[in-house]
This record gives sequence, C-alpha cells and structure tokens, in this order.
Amino acid sequence: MNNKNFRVSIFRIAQRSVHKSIFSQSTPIAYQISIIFSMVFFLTIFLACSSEDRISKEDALGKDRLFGIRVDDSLQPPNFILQDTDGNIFDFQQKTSGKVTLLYFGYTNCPDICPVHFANIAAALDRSPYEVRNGVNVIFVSVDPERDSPKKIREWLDFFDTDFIGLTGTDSDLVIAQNAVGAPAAFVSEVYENGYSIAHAAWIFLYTQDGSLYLKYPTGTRQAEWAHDLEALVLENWSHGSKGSKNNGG
Amino acid sequence: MEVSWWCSARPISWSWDPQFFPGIWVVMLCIIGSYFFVYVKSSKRSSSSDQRIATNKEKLSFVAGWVLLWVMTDWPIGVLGSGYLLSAHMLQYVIYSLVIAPLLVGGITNSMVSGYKDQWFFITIRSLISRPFVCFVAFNIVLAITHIPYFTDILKPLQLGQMLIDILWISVAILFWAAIGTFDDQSDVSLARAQKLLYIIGITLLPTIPGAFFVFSDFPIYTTYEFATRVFNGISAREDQMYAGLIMWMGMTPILLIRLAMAFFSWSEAESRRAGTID
Repeated sequence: MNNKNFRVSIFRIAQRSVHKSIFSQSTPIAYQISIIFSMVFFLTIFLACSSEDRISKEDALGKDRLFGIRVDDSLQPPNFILQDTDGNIFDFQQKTSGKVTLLYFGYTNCPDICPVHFANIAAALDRSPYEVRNGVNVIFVSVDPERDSPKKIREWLDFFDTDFIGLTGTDSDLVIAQNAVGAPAAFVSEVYENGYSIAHAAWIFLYTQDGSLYLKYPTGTRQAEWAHDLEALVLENWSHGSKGSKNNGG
Repeated sequence: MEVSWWCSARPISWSWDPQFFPGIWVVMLCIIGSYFFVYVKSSKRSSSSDQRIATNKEKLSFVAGWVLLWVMTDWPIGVLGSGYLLSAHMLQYVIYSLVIAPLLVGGITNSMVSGYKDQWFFITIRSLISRPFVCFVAFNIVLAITHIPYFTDILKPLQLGQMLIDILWISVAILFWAAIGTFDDQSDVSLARAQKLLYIIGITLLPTIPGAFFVFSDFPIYTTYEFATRVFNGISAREDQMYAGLIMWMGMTPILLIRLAMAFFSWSEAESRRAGTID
C-alpha cells in the first residue's frame, strides 16, 4: 500500500514538473523553442521511418525478397509473334532472351491503370543505375488495335520512355499472346457516346533473362518496389536456390 | 450519380469539369453566417454604449480569409490537393496556416466575443490561447501527424478523413495566431514582441524539415499521389513531390519576411511613439 502511494506521489511530482517546465508561461522561451524543435525533429524522423519509400535495397536484397508474386512453375515463357511500332515482326521469345522483360497488355486510351503503371516503371528505371536500365525490356501490347495505331502507341510510349517497346497485331494474334502468358483475353466492357473502355489484365508480367523465373506485379506496385526488384533481377542478386520462398506477397 | 460532399482522393482520372461539394458549401456558409450573426448581435448589444464592434479593415480581413478558405478547400485546389498533387496539398497547408488563419483571427474582435465570455467553449478557447506554447505544440504536432504517410494515405481517400485534415489544419492555425495575439492591442493576451517573432519564425522554419524529405526523396512518399493519374503531362509523382517540398521551403519564406517586416514596423512605431516623435 505504501509502495503504491509512493509510486502515485512520484508520478504526480513528475507530471507537475513536466507541466511546469514545458507549459508554464514563466518557462524561458529559448527552452520552450528547443523542446519544440526536438519534438518536431523526432516526429519528422518518425515520418521518414514510416515512409515505404525508405525500403532499404540492401536489407531487402539481404533477405532475398522480391515484391513480385511468383507464378506457377509449370508455365513456360510465352511464345508469340506480334508487330512492333516500326512494322517489324516481333518474336517475343527470340527478342527478349538475355534481358529481364516486363510485359503488359493495355490500351493507350486507358484513363488510369495503364498510364500509372508505365509512369511508375519509367520513374523507377530513371532512378536506377545504367546497367539496370540497359538490362530491362519494357513491352506494351495494345489490346485495342482499332484505335491504337503503331504511331499512336509509339507516341504514347515515348511520353514515358523512348526505349519502351510497343506491339500490336490482329485480334486473333492478341488473343494468342494473352493466352500464352495466362492472362484473360481483353474485351470491350463499356460503350460510351464517344468511345468505349476495355477490360484487360492489370498485371505486369516479368520474365528473367534465362526464363527461369516468372513473376507478376499487381496494380499498386510502388516505384521503390520496382527499383528494388529490377535491380535485384538484372544484377542477379537473388538466389536461384530459394525461388519457392521468394515472394512476399507483393 | 453519387455526389461527394467533401473532396477526397478517388481512383478516377482528373477532370477540369467543375465539381460541387455540398458539405464544403454548408460549412462555408455556416462560417460567414455565424460571423455576421455574432456581429449583428454584438452591434445591437452595444448600440447604447456607442462602441464600435469591428472596423471595416477587420471585417474585410475576415471576409478575405473566408473567401481564401473556400478557394483553398473547394474544387479545383481542394480536389487536386486531396488526391492528385502533393504540391496542391502543400499549397493548401501553407495558405491555411500562414494566410487564412491570421486573416480570420484578425477579423474577430474582443467586442464581438465579449458576449460569450461565460460560455464553456469560449472559456476553453480562452484557456488554450492564453498558453501560446501549447498552441505552438499543437500546431506542429498536427503538421507532423497529418504528413505521416501511413495516416495521410488512410485519411485522404475518405471524405471524413480529408475533412478532418482540413479542420485540424485551420483550427490549430487559428489557435496559434490567436495565441500570439494577432488582435494585439485589443486583446489582453500579450506576449513580448520578441517571443511572438520567435514563434512566427518557428512555425515557418520547422516545416522545412519534412519539406527536405519531399525534395530529396528518391521515390514518392505517399501512395495517394504516386498512383494518382497525372494532371499535367510531364510532371511525374516525384517531381510533384519535389515541388511540394519547395513550396514548403520557398512559400513560407516570403510570408515570414512580410510578418517580420510588419512586426518590425509595428515595434518601430511603438518605440517612436514612446520617444514622443509621433503624436
């Protein structure tokens, strides 16, 4: 009982001291200001620490983690042929071997997901070292051949990065390509007075240089996550032996 | 069609088509309505004593603050700030804290609030503004908390969350400016001029710390703005974040200089009066 009273007394004394030392109007202003600066400093550190932007590449690589979600091992790298924006034949397997390849099915009139995905990948690559930028193919396949001419695709991609590759083809070629990667075929979902929107896979598919790893990235993958994974995969800072435990669920 | 009552982050493309937010209109009309209700009531009360309730300058100050508050809260700046551009969010913060709040406080006089001196809310506010340090702490804690990515990304998509952020910003800013005695001579709340200046310097300089994180961060800090569709072609989420940091740095500086100049001239005038050089 005495012990409890003692603790209560100590608490009250401490409470009064804090109140008197910080909040009293008689406390010197310099002292008050220095306390404020300290508080804001620590709150700011907390702000910085709570930011997902601070994902430490070293930590993540050390833990052998990738943000992409691992796809079934039984799926082989896709084999399909489309046409690039210069009108040349583009054999996917042949043209992408030896580089990490990001593959996405979308359309240039897409109001939200497509431009955000590409803006984030472009920004992540922009902050990456040269060897990483040089080791990545980013491929956009338009599932809207009616409106997306090769020229329009090229202009749209150039807005993000002039090295991005644009592909198109006939409706049947596009269905074959989507089936080859295990994506559902895109379809017109809504028709408006002056256009239409298309429902399409929102994932970005990733294939490693040797085709030994196949990941997919959902909408909401952050720039810092892209930068981390692309660097790890291009520089091969991930262990082949622990593929099964690689992904952390995105 | 769903009508939003307050600005919030929504997963849709930005559009320059004007939008109507009834919640914002109601709050804004309540603010100006309350001001003139109190003004008229105070005028009637003091008609016998021939006391002036508020000068034209004071009324203009409040109305200017109210107009700016509406402009900064409603479409388009409110919508841009809530879900598309961090730089718009930061502009809102700077204007709320350093322009709107002192203007609103400058329009509220002692004569207007004297009739409410026994009311509990007035006693609470009075008690708060008699402790400038507490208001200063509250101001900075709100600044820090409303910029922690975890909270910001949770609150921004909610209309209630964005409303809470707006109300918190303007409330602590009003408390702060009231506490350092914006209505100077008419108030019995007094602080030494040097202390006032230190507080003003404090609130303009402290936000430069989080501003540094915005400017120097390699990647976007807030998911809300990272995944927003772009408003202006060619301005990426990271560039927008950098501009936000610069607004925090550069936007505060001229306002600080103006406040310091005003304080200096006021002090100089007071000293001259004391020396008898001015009648």
